[in-house]
Amino acid sequence: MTAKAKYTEEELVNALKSGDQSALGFLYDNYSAALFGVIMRIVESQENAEDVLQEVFVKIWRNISSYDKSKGKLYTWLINIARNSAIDSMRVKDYKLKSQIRNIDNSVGSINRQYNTAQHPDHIGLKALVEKMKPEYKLLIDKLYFEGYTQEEAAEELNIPLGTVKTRIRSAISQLREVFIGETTLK
Amino acid sequence: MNIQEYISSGILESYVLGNSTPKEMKEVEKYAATYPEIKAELNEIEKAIQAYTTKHSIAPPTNLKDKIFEKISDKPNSSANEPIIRSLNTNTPLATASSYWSVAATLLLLISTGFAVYFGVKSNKLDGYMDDMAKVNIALADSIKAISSNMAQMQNDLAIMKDPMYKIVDLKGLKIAPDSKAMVCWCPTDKTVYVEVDKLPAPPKGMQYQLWAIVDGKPVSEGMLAMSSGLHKMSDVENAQAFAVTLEKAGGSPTPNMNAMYVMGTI
Repeated sequence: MTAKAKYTEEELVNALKSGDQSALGFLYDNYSAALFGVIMRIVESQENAEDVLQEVFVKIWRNISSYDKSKGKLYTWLINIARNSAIDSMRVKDYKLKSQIRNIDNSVGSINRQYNTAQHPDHIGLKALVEKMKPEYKLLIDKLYFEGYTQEEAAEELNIPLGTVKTRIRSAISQLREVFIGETTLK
Repeated sequence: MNIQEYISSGILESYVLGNSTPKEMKEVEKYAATYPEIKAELNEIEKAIQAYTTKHSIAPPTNLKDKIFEKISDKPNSSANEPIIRSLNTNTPLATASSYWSVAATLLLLISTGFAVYFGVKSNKLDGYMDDMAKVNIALADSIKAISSNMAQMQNDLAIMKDPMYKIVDLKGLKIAPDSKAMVCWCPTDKTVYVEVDKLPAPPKGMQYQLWAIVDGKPVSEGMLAMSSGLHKMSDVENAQAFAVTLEKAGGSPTPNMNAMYVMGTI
């Protein structure tokens, strides 16, 4: 599967919709690390994360016809499939038991994550980015985006009113945008 | 509608994060199609999230790509066997569509009936279990109540016995019943009297024990004794020199029966 061809997002979607496997190869080469990163944030074991990633690509392949570009970018659609599949995989088993174990094992998980971050050069950039973000914003985004919390659950967990969660999401993403724009102009 | 207000409400961010309700999603999609400002804002939010998630990238193991492609080769995405999400307004003739739907509906009905029966049985079992648990809970709550009221009584008693204002008077058994025992706690300052029976023979029917304070050589009735454990408050008394218990007819006597004195203690 050596898909060296370069696609625009629209060409890629069209190629995928027409059943072109080399387009899927391109998609894998360009997006699998981002999708795997998201899955790894949600699913604790590497083995389960690999299963979820396989499932995600099969879903993408089968359901690409339902992707509607007027509803958002391809990337957002892909990430949401990865996220939802990862969350579903965690909820399949006794979710409550799992989350108890997760609470106990939190420290272990974070060590593993640090180990993972060391493997990937992109994380040097992440560290810089995270340092620029307010910790409570980062925490909220991570809970909502990577850990699959609903806004209500996040409000309860972080012990802040639901209204604050809503306004804080806005501020958090504004800050993310500023940091991101600052970064791209630097390059 | 106020576009700026809508943009700053945080709804668009929730939409991109995938946290909005189906109703909100519809609304956002409708507005994004109508107002270019909203569409542009959504785009920017998506870019920011994209940047953030890209930063979290972790390369999957190299053999995973081949595994995925193996799976996919068995399942071409254009195959008619695969469930494909279609929009409802296709050009398929209505008759075919409706017969397809009726089969689907029948299947669904069968499945849901199955589930209903299954969960019905399960729920009956659960109901019985819940009843048992409720009974256990009530029993536990009762014993906790009893224990905590005992505990409160004991703490109360202990506080009195530890209070230096109270004099502790041991009433020792007399000839009539030498191993009898009782205790009086008396506070000379505020005149309060408490008594506890440690050991007294059970009173015969129609009889009751009566507590007396000896004030200047004369017995003063302090009231009838309760046989239950713990301190019991009696009548106030001033200048007592001794306390004693006699067996009297139920309800008490105006003067003690000196031949039926069981315990006594001087201060």
